[in-house]
Amino acid sequence: MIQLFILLCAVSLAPLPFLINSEMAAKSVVIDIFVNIGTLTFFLLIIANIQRYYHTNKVFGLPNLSATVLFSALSLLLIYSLTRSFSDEYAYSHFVRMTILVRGIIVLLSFLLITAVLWIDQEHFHVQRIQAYAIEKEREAIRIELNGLQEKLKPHFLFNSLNSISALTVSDPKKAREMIHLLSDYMRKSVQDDPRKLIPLQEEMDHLQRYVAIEQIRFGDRLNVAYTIDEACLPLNVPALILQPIIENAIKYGLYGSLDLVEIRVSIEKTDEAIHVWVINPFDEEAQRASAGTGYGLNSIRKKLFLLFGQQQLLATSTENGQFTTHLIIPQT
Amino acid sequence: MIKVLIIDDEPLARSIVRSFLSEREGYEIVGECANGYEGLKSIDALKPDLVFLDVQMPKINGFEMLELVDEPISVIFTTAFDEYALKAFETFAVDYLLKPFSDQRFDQALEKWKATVKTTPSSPAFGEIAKQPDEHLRIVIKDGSTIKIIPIQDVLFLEAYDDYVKVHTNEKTHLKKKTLNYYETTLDARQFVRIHRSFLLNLNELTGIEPFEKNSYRAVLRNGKRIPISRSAYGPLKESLGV
Repeated sequence: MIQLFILLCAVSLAPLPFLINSEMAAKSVVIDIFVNIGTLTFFLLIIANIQRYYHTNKVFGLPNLSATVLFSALSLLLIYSLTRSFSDEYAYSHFVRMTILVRGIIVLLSFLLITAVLWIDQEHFHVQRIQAYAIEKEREAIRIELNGLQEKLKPHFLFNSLNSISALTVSDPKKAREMIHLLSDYMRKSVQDDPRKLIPLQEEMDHLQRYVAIEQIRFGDRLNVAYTIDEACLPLNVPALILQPIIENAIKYGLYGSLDLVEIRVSIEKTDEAIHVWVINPFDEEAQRASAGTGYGLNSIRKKLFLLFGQQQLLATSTENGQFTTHLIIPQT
Repeated sequence: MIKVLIIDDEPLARSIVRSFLSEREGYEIVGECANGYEGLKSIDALKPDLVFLDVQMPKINGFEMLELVDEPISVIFTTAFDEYALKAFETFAVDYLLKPFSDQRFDQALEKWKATVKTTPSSPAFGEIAKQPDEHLRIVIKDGSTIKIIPIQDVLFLEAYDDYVKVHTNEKTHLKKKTLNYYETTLDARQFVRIHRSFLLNLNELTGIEPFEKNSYRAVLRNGKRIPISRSAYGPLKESLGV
């Protein structure tokens, strides 16, 4: 389509020799026509390609106008020198000199025209692209928000806990009520707390212990969690909701990797610059290798730590003798 | 009396099914199991008429346990939240209960089970199409009385063998009651390629292709084993290798 249009513009210059009555050899007329069409097609294609890959804000801003003028001058120069080198007929070279102004105007106009047409064409695509990009970005934001919400709600955990409550209402109503309180406090905190906020470790530990208490009601005596905590750490600040996902990961791989009783050990110590948290859980190497891997829950924590502290390597994991250790460093500045 | 077996790793979840059943006439709970391993033994020993089965359990999940049961059994799944598996439930089970479930919903499931028992003497056959969770990551195999979980990357190739599939690994060859077509559709097609009517090859194990007799080829594996490539599969195989 565009090629056809370009050819049309180019041909517009071709009948020039006939418009002006002149005594010229047929050979010169043919040369003139070919040189005109050739030169114009050449420059029009250059302009078309520039328009396709380089879209400016305004149709006739400085870049497009100067390019048009430059190309017009160049094509005139080319037409002039080519016609002279192909034909030495006096009447013809006189004719070329006479018509150079008319040629210049036609060239300039057709260049402006093609620039405008292609620019409008591209502008259409450009707007579409911008709109598509905006929509895609919005969708991405919604997706992230949804994922975040689901992460907070933990449907699997929530429904299983509700199921435990449903069982306890018959067998142990008092415990059912306790579980409801634990679950409500836990959910409230998970939904309210901003993960970017810093809170005292004591507060984070309370939250964590509520989570563990719920899981212990669910899994009964299969789950045991032992804490060793340096009391001096408790008033220090840590990012909100940072510990629970690590324990969740440890419980998941501990419980689902073994048929026996599972003990998870949490120890917290401090140095001058940081709080160190170790979470150790038993794990089954065979089942581990065969499942989706250990990384899933921990990757989001790694990302969060990097966003908060701008440091890599604040979370490390290692395995030894069937024990999986997660080591978390929380810088204290 | 209808013999019922409950398999769930959470004691409280088991107690719900137990209490619901105790309120109804005609059901006898013959056993309760906390994982798939116990479940398999109990199914074998107690031959229950109906099994309530949790999905997420230690070591092997409910689907994987079902695969290892020799005779078809009636199953009602109980699960908290497995959106990806809903389709599979419909294929494999009489019904599924989403925890926590109500008295009425529990009755519905029992009614549904009674209806299927009346119409078909044996319980529903195992579907072949539904993709199960973790299925593409590992293959669970019963080897005598022990259960082996084979990570999919350890599988060299799969071979059709009557009604079974031979799962070849470096250590051993295992038998699994499945069809080769099943694995061809469920495993990652970029890793496992059907190179013959009877062979599905793990491309990571392929080290070369050599001519064999006239007009045919054999695949050379990393451990030196050679398996035939059918004429029709040779072209697509070369394509997937990018040569």
